[in-house]
Amino acid sequence: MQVAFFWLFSALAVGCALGVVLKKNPVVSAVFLMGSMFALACLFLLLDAHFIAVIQVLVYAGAVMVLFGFIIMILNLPQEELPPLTLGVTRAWGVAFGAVALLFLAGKFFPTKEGFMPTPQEFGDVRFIAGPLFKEYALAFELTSLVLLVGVVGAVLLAKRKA
Amino acid sequence: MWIDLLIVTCKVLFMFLFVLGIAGLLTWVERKQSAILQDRIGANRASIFGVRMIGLFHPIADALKLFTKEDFVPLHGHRVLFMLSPALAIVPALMTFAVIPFGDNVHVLGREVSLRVSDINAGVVLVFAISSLSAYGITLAGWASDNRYSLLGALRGAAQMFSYEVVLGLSVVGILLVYGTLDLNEIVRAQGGYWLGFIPRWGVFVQPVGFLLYFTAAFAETKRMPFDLPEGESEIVAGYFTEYSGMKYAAFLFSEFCEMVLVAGLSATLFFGGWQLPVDVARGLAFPLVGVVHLSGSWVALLQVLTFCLKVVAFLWLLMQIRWTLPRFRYDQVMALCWKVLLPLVLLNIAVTAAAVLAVKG
Repeated sequence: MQVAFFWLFSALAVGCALGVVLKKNPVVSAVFLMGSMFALACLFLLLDAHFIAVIQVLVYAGAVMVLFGFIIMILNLPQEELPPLTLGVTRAWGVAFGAVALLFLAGKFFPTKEGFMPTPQEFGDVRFIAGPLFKEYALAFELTSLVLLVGVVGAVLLAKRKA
Repeated sequence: MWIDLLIVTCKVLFMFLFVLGIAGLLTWVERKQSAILQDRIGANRASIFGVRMIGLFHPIADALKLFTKEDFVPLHGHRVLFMLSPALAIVPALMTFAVIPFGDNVHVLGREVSLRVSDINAGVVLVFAISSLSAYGITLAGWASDNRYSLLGALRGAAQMFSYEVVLGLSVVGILLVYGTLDLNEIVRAQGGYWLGFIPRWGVFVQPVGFLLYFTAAFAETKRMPFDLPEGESEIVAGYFTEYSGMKYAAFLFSEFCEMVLVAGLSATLFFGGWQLPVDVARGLAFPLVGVVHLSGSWVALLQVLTFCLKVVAFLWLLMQIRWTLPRFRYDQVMALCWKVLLPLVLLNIAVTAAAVLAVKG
């Protein structure tokens, strides 16, 4: 049953990811991206990583993508102004790099004869993540939030200058 | 294997019937309670062979009407997203009930069964994660309708839900600090017992400010009256669902009612002891003239489920009462309340709680 679910959600994730790239309408692309993130969260659930799955939905699908959609809708580009989907030089480069990355990942993560690495006992538990995050890597964690704060202040500054 | 599947199916069915049943009933309560508040008679016209049942047939009449209404799709909107968004609104509202416990573990067919649909250990966060997805239903509905009022409503809705989600998430951090777990069933278990022998150890007594902040933010998330700016009939027709009719419109209406049930259920679970009975059943129940009655396990389980349901109903009454008492805010007031009043308060609450927990537990 788990294997069946794995294939279902994997197919959903890949299909939605393709939809993001191939669809012309930015709002539809955003919806596909949300679907892809949700399918990824389901894959995390299958791996018993409940907390990561939930955070994936909460932060990416629930917060970041809503903001994306918000901005796309405010811009509301008319269909005619969107460039047609053709295979230009840039896209060819994109496809080539994507293929190389895929090969690299496939070589790195394809299950070996021993199968997948077993997960630790408490894997996925909140304590398992919170412990290292707030003890060993507390400084790095706090500095990351500082970087985000600087980003927000910068964005506000840029938005204010116009007015 | 099959028995496990059967048990899970039963739990899912119970939760769905409970939530949808109450949500259906709420359409009637909304009319009756508002009528009582405004000194009117309220819905009492629908009848079957002259039997009126204090207007209880109105939900059925509504359903019939909505099912047979013309299903309108705007010509220049986005057809697929227009169809999809009512589903995107109602599915998250129903999914969140999976982690809310409605009773203590019971022994059925030789195995221990927890009375909630899913045993995910990050329950509280899951509720917020899934309910944050309901913003899509609104924003996409507004955008796909190809109507300016709809788009305005959608933008208002997205901004409002996004802002209040911050306060909502942070308001329960106090409770999480006190009980030290994200598991809703553990939180409810920790609320058993009494202080001084008669005050139940409910979360609201430990986190009164946290509860008020949670309740306000959750109320704003349901987008009901003082916070119903995304709908705002007096300004933008009907906001994000202006173009919707028939059952698609009903889906939005229903998702609102389901969210109300969710808010009530979560308030009861996090702050009012969830399925914990307000009396100590372990010592038996003392009745005058009858004496002390000791209850068996299954009776206690039944009472616990009933207690949870009653708490939910009590909160629903409160939510209705607030909705028909307060007038609508202005939009800038809603935003100012969130970012300038609630957010500093909620951060202060976390700091004070953290200091107190540190002082007590060391």
